[in-house]
Amino acid sequence: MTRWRIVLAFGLAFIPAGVGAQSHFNTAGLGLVQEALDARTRALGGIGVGLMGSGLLPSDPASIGRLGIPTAVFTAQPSWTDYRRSDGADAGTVQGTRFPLVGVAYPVRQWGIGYLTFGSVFDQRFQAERPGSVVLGLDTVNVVDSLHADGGVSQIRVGFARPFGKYLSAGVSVARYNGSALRRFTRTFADGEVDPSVQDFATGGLWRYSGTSVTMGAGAQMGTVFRAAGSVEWSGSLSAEPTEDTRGSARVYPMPVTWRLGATANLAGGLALTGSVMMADWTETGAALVDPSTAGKATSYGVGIELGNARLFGRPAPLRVGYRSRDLPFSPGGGMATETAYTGGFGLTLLESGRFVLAGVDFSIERGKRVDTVLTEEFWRGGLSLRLAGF
Amino acid sequence: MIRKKLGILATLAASTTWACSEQTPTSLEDAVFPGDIRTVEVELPWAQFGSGLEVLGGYGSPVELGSAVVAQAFAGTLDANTLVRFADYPDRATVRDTTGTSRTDSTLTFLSGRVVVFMDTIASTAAAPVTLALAELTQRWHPQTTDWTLAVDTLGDSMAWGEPGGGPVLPVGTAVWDPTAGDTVVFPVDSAQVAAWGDTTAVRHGARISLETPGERLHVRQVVLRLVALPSVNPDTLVDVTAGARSMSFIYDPSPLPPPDGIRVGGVPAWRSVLDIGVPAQLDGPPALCDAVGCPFPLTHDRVNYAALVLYSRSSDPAFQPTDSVGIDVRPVYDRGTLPKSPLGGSLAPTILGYRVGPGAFGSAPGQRMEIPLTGFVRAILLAKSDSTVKAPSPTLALLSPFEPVSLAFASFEGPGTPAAPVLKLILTAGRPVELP
Repeated sequence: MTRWRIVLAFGLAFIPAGVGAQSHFNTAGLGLVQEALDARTRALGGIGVGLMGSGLLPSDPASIGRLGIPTAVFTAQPSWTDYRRSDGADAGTVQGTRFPLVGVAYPVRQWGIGYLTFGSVFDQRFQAERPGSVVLGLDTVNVVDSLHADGGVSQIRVGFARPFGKYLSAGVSVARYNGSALRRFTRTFADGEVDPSVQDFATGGLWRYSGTSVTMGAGAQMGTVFRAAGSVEWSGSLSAEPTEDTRGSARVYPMPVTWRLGATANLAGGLALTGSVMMADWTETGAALVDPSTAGKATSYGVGIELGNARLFGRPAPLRVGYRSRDLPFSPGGGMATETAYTGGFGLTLLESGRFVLAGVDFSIERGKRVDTVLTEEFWRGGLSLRLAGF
Repeated sequence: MIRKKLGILATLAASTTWACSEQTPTSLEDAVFPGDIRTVEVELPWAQFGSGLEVLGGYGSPVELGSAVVAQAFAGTLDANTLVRFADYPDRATVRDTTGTSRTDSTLTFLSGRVVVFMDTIASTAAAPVTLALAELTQRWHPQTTDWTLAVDTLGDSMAWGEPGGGPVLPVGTAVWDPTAGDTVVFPVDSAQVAAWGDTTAVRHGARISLETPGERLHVRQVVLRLVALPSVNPDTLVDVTAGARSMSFIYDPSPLPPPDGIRVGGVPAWRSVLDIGVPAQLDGPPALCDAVGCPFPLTHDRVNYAALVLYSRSSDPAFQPTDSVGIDVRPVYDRGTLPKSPLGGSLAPTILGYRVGPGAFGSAPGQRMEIPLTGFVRAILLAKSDSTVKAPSPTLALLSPFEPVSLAFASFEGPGTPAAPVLKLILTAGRPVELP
């Protein structure tokens, strides 16, 4: 009975919660850049590299190399966002849940760890409505134009990582962009103003994304005192091919090389300080848009503190706080935008064996703001990561 | 223990994610819309879409109408007589015998009777008392095929009336109907006439009801023969029994001819108008369209929001003008080559009553515009043009009454070649394709 409850509960957990979104920044350019991070990284304000210990983060292959045992991770990320236009024309709230990271790693003989991850890259879900009117004969008829955009870009990644000696580890992965974008424009005529048999005008299409990226990373860890890691992700162009019955054209977007660097130092008494930085140049991507944006070099950084000796219910429960800032390459205002957030959270080790955590959960909460020239968003973003190992 | 913790953990995860209701953000920016989406209305003249208009008559028979008509020089021209064949007389009735006990008596003696005519006061034109005449037919007739001049017109058998209009007849009597006093007319019938109509072997079996007051057209809903019978079980009492009409029809003169330049729907026998719809693959006008969306304008199914055949009413022949609203149905004709017997497709009208038009449109207020929506039909034609895997619908449409026959009156519309010829109204929307950013 208990087993069935577990299966049912996990099944529910993995059901995508329908079409939703987390931000109006989804409407700009290629959408809101998503980060395949777990809740621990979020709580520490990190950008996905250089945290102490091992982890299943696609942006930090070196940390995967130190997993040692089979590991699976799943992350859910709900958010609640209040938005307002700078001109005061509109304000409101949106909310949604994303699953930015699902991954599994498994030892390959004595060679190292092979891993498979599925992570978000861009969120492109939104809808738009615009009232208007058209003149039909001698009459003016009210209409509502709507644009429904659904889909996004994700990456499925296959990689291999391994330790080199006691201190070093490294890894490499190949990712394939996938996902799709559905865009549908509909013009609806006002009820009662036209014959009931008047049909809506609808047009649109479906594009499928493809492309390849390669990530390489390396790291060094000296016991529990210090760890530093870095990675670089080279990406080919992101291609969007229309399906056969789509009238829209194909698009190709150059994707930037992304550099990540991070480090963690254990100061004393289980108190660790971490910091990381990421850089990517979106200039070519922005220039490739139909309406070229002024996207340029985007820098992200984050700092955080982890108190590793904290306990909850008699089990290790590290407390985390942090701060992060990142540049968003696309924004409704057409240029770069900035997202900043104060972060926090804790972990809970449910089961461990020796130095291995066999079951654990991490929670994070962020209070942040996105700002560009026309739009301001303030958000709460939660994070929940489940980590199972040794199966 | 471990399973319990994992269960709690998974349940927590599920509830955390599942509890988050989703709200898709509604964009604040006009820039996300594809540009230059335009909606225009155009009307194509008959020459650009229509052809092969043909008016066909003869569908159904007055006997199928369930009601009948009498007229005398209505609108100066129309004469109409109602013909009735009574059903077999009842051969038994339940009566009280001399002891007061109810019994079924199968030995009835019919002493007299009365023909009761129920009038349709709404559809009838008379506002003042009118005189009707009842007579006995004197020759055999066939209810399904009889008309003003022929008593029988079946395959291999044709016989004219001795006198047009159902004659010669043997007069039975006259009666006055005052439409302000009620809806029935009663003709007393003596025992000899009762016996004559009761002889079901007589080939002349039947009655004719005619109107003697000129200038009116009356609608007859029902005719029955009320019989006064003497029961054998109690000779001191009389009972009423009823013989309904086995067949009721009407004959009229003159029969309208097909309009040379118009569209006709309805009547009895019913008229249908058949036409072919040919939607052009592209439009090169009118200027309003070209100014809005450019020309040539490829006409594809997804650009058609609305399509309708627009007709303009004209006055029907005064003798056949409707006194109530008229329904117009439209159905595809599967095989034009086999007309007038081609099977028809399902109705394109939204209700079984068709598109309703008031009677004035075909009488005192002609020229009224009527739209018959054909959006799905036109889109299907255009879809078949662009997709070879889609079977094109028959391009031939029939305009007809939702029920045939439904009334002596018919609807008339202007046809091709007239100033108010039919047009095809289109509401079109076009714009650049939706693109990714």
